[in-house]
Amino acid sequence: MSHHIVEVKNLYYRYTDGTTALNGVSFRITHGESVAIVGANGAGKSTMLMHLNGYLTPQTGEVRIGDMPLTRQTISHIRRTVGMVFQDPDDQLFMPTVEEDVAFGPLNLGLPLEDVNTRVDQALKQVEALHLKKRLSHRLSGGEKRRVAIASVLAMEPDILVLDEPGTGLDPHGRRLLIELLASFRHTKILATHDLDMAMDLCERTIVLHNGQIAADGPTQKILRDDELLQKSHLERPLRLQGCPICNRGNT
Amino acid sequence: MSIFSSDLLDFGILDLLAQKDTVIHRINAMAKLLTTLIFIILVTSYNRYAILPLMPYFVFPVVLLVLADLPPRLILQKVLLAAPFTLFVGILNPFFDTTPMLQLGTIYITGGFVSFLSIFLRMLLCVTATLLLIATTPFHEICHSLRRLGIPKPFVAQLMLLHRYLFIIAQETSRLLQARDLRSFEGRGKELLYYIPMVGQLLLRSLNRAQRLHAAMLSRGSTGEIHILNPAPMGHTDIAFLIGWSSVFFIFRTDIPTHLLQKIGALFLR
Repeated sequence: MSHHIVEVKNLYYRYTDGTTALNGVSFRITHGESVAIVGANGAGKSTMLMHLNGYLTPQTGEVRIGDMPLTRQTISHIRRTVGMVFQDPDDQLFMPTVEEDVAFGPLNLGLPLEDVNTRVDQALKQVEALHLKKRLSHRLSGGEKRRVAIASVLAMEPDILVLDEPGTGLDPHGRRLLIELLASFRHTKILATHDLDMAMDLCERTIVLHNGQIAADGPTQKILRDDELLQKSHLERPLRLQGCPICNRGNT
Repeated sequence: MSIFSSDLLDFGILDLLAQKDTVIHRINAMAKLLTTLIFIILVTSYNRYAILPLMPYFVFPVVLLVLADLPPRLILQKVLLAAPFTLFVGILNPFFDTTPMLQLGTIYITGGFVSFLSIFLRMLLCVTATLLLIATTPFHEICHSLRRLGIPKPFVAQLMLLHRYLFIIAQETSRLLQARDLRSFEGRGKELLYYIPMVGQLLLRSLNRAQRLHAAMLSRGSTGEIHILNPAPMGHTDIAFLIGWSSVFFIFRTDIPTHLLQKIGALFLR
C-alpha cells in the first residue's frame, strides 16, 4: 500500500518578508503510521503542514504523497488523499449548516447526490455527531465544531489525516473524547501539537522541529524523555513524565 | 455589556426566530422570496404622492406577523433602525415642494410633506416585509433561492459568508473593546484616536481569517462553485402562497381599493 506514504525531501521555504520557515526538512512517513510534529512557536510546524496538501508548493525540495510528487497537476488528487483539519474549526466550517459543510468536499469531488448524502451520514456517525446534521454551523459548541470539522474532512475519505493542534479550545473531557476518537481511526495520521501528552497517547513516532530544521525524529517515548533535546527545542517533558510534584520533587 | 455584543444578541434573535416551525416558516424559501420581491416592486411603483393606495398593503406584514407568531415589538424595533435613512432621503422634501395638496380646515398640507410621508410608509412596508422574510426563513435557504434565481455566484457566496462570519467578527470586536475597556481609566484611552488602530487590527485579523478560510476551501477541492444540497421542492401550498399573495398585491395596485376606500369615506361623511 505504497500510496499512503508521505515523503518530504530537503524542503526549504522562505516567506516574502525574508523569514526562513523551513530550512532543509526531510522525513518519510509510511502507511498507517501516526506521527506527532512538535516544536516551539515559529518552529515551522504550520508551514510544514501547509505543504502536505499543497496550499504551499515547495520552493526547493520535494513533497511526495504516495507515488506522486506535489505539483500543480497533481494537486487535486493530493488534496483528495490528504485530509487537513485546521486549527480553528471556525475557519473550516464556512457553510451555513453542518450538513452542507460536511457535503462541501464530496460535492466538489463531483459525486452523485445519493453518494454525497451517504457520505455525510457516515462521516457524522464516525464522529458521533449525526444529531447535529441540521444545525447551523455558528450555533455549535467548541467541541461540536471540532467534531464536525473532522467529519467534513472524513467525508472526503482521505487516506492521510493531517491535524493542526486538534486539542485547541477543548475542555479536558472534550480533549479526552477527541483522543479516543482519533485513536480509533485507521488512517495515516500527522499531528502538529503543543500538547505533548496527546502526542504520547496517539503517536508512536515524534518529529521535533526547531528553527525550520528537524532536531530529532524517533520513537515518542524516547524523544519526550530526552531533557537536553527538549530544552534545546523550547519544549518540556509531558506532564505525565514529570513525576509527582509533591513527593517526587527534583527526582525526575 | 458593550454595544457590539448586545447588537450581536439581537441579530442572533432574528436568526433564532427563523428556526421556528409555523405555517409561514414551513413555506418554501423561494415562494417567500418571490412574494416579497413582488410586494416590494409594487409598493415602490406608485407615484410620489401616493398615500392612500399604500394602505391596503399593510395586510401582508400583519398577516405574516400573526401567522408566524413573531414578537411585533422586536420586529418594529428593527424596522425603526432603518428609519433614519428615510429621514435623510425625505427630510428636505417639505422645504422644496411647497405646492399645497390638501386642505384640512385652515391648514394646508404641502406636496413635499405628502411625498415625505409616502417615502416613510414605503420604507415601513418594504423593510418590514424584508425583515419578516429573514425572520421566517433560514438565511442559507434565502441564499440558495437567490442563486437559483440567477443572482451571480460571487454575490451569493459573499452573502452566505457574510452571514456566517458576522457573528465571529462581532465577537472579535467585542473582545477587542473589552480588552481596551479593562485598561482604560477615567475615560482615558477611550478617545476617538484609539479607534483607528482598532479598526486596522480588525481588518488585519479578517484578512488573516480570509486566508485561512481560503486554504480550508481549497483543501476540500473547492472551485468556487456553490452546490445546493437537497433543494426543497415547491409544494402546492408554496405555489398557492405565491400566487395568492401576488394576486392580492396586483388587485391592490389597480384602482379598486382606492375607489372602495373613497366610497366608504363618502358614506361616513354623508
